[in-house]
Amino acid sequence: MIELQNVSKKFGKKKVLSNLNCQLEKGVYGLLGPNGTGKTTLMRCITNLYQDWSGDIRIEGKSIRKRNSQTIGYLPQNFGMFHELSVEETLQYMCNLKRISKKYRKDEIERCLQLVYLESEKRTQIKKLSGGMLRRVGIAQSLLGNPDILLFDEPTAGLDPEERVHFKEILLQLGKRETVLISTHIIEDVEATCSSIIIMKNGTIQTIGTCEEIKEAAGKSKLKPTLEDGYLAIIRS
Amino acid sequence: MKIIVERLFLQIKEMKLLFLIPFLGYYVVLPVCTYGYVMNPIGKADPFTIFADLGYNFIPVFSTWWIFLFLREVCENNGREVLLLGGGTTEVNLCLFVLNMLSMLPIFFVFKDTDGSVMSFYLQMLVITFFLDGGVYLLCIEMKNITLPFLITLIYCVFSTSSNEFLDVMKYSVLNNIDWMQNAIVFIVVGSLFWFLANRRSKHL
Repeated sequence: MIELQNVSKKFGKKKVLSNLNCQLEKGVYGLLGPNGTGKTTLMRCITNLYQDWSGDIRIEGKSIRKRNSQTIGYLPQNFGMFHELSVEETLQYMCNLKRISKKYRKDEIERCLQLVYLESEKRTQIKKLSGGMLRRVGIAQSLLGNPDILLFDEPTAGLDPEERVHFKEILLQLGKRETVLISTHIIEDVEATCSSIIIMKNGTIQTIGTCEEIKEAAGKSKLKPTLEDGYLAIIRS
Repeated sequence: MKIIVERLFLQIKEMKLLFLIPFLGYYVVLPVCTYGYVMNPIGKADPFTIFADLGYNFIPVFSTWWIFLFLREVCENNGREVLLLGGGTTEVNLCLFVLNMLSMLPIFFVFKDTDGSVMSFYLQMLVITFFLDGGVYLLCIEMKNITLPFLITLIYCVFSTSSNEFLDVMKYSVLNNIDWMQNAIVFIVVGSLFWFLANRRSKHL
């Protein structure tokens, strides 16, 4: 479970996140909002990547400032390092960073590569992979070590339709036992995978609700009862 | 330690041929330049004096090379957030510093150390390199890129031998010289501060 308590973050004088409060239980949460609304900043705060943010974030009751952030699976918006290493070596590097014991490492890499259908590419150099494959390596690295919390920043960007369908299946499986937060602009992905949706605007949380509740907001604004219109109704309100 | 060594191995693999640049510097560029000066009929200095003279310019630049290559991943590459989350940047940098000092050691055995000046020069290089590597680490982490720190390093190393009072004091001094030791302590303290500050900043964006 992730608990946000008065989380605020400033860049210079600009307040990017303003007193965010919420509790995220097990399940898949979709983080929606216009560009520049603070979605990535929020994810980076949860991973404790920023030094200067106020408030507190607790994961399973323990403050993130004291917790080992290696236990969080994080897929950044752009992932494409170690061009000269193979997929397997890159994942070995990530296992090393996550302090996964050498004994389990091989099986863990195999498991994650199978999940993203990349077993056949494990000896391919990163620089030779397509954008979609690279994204899948990014997803695989975030899954290493079975973290309790998974944060995906625009995970389906660059994936082809088949890969997207498969990724949604993975998300549904993960959501049963972990807290997964995905930031995306693709409403269909959110509708297909997320148990709850968080809508952000200007650094604040506007709404947290299920797909049905968001759709109801569209109905109240005399728009079509779709998730997309519900989202627009909330953003424009 | 095992974890760091394994990470270092993968990091070196990622560097590919670029990893060999310092070796090229220490075992090709420096000896060839030294030989060239020794063969020059105008300058009749002994080979070690020429080697040390050139070394003050070349060795610090080459010593930062691996650190720059490693910090390129940490500071500039896509997905660097994952590296920051994993931590261990300072440990890898320290290992690269030690590796560099070991890799240049054999060339010092070429010269006969009759008066302790070869040993003294190696120790001076160790101190300067520790200071410079720490400075480079801090600059890269603060600036979040390696281009400007690399330029600053080049400028520092080109001008330091002629205009830096500290290095002038260090130059050609013997091991037990008090001036040398006093200056070395200043360099070690400031260098340690650089490493400490860089380490603190290296875990966050």
